[in-house]
Amino acid sequence: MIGIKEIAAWIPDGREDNLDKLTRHETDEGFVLEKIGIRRLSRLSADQQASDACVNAYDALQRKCNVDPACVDFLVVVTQTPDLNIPHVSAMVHGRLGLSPHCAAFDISLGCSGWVYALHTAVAFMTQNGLSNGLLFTADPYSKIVDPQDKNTDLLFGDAASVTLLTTDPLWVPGKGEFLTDGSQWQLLRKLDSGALAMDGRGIFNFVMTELPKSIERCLEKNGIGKEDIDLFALHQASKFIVEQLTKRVKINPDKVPFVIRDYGNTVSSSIPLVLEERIHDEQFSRVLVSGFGVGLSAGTSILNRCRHG
Amino acid sequence: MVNVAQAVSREKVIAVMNSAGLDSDISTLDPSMSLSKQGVDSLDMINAMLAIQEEFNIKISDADMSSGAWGSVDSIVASLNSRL
Repeated sequence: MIGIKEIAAWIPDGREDNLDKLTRHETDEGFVLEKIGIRRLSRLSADQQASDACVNAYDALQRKCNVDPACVDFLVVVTQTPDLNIPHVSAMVHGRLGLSPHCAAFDISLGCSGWVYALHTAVAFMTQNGLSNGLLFTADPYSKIVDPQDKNTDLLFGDAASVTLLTTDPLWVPGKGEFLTDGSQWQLLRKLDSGALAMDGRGIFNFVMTELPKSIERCLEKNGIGKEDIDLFALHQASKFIVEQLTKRVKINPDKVPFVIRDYGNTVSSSIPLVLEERIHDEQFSRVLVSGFGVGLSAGTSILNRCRHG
Repeated sequence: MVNVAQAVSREKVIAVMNSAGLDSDISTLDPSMSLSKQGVDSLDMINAMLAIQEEFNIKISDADMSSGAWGSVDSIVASLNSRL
């Protein structure tokens, strides 16, 4: 049985202060701190790319648990902001970590739903092929593509990376996932020809508020459980407003829905593993709902079940 | 969802907007004035418009939004009634 053994994250030290941008974006402190809920945005240095962030996340994993690189037989990187378009980031990370030539490695091009999709893909791939030690990375340094003049994106996105260790002696295993795509609205969040990110916040909000509550209900139903059976809802940390409104729409106890990104921002596919990093070792949690949503438009929701303590 | 064949009242629009859980109580604002000029921020406007779309089973496009026809309570009432 393949599942999650450990999660480690890396958030760069660099920060942009959203309160320095109030004049530029004709907004106020209350809106930034209470509605968006993000004071600072984490920033890679100019010479760092997605692969550097992955390597730093791996170093954080090594400090938590000693992974033998020679035993890693699976590697996936979720990113839409790769160092280069060719080759895939996973190959670059594979090389820098000195992993075995018998290790499978590929990228998954997804945004905020990416960790949930990649988790299910990884578990299926590893199970089918008899693999036993996998690394699932997320790294989307949107700071490389955000236009500082664009209020819709310049106050939101921070840089980070995560790595999820997948093994045959897991602490957590995923249940049945529920996945959603609305490709008719792909224009709502995209990289323009200019290279800058563009987002229609209203369109994304409408998608999330109308489709995610139904998708979450379907996920619970598929797994034969109800909302009351969930100890923690790890929702994609898009903004305080989105998390709060989705919490209301799904009618869940806000105490079970953490919002943790005030000091670093929306880190795209890394946001869910960042919520989970410490909490997977908290024994008050036995069942967690994870739900990522955004670019595509795409959403992935799943249940994580604790299979042992540790 | 209401029957759109009936005229939409100001009170109904205020109730639907308030049901979205906005920061401001819309009933305390001047219905003839721009909501944004009375402190309703862009995120609350998005939220309120979604509530109106769902309640009245209509689609409000971005062009509609930027036209100003949905900027005050009274203009929202007029816009809804024009779609009857």
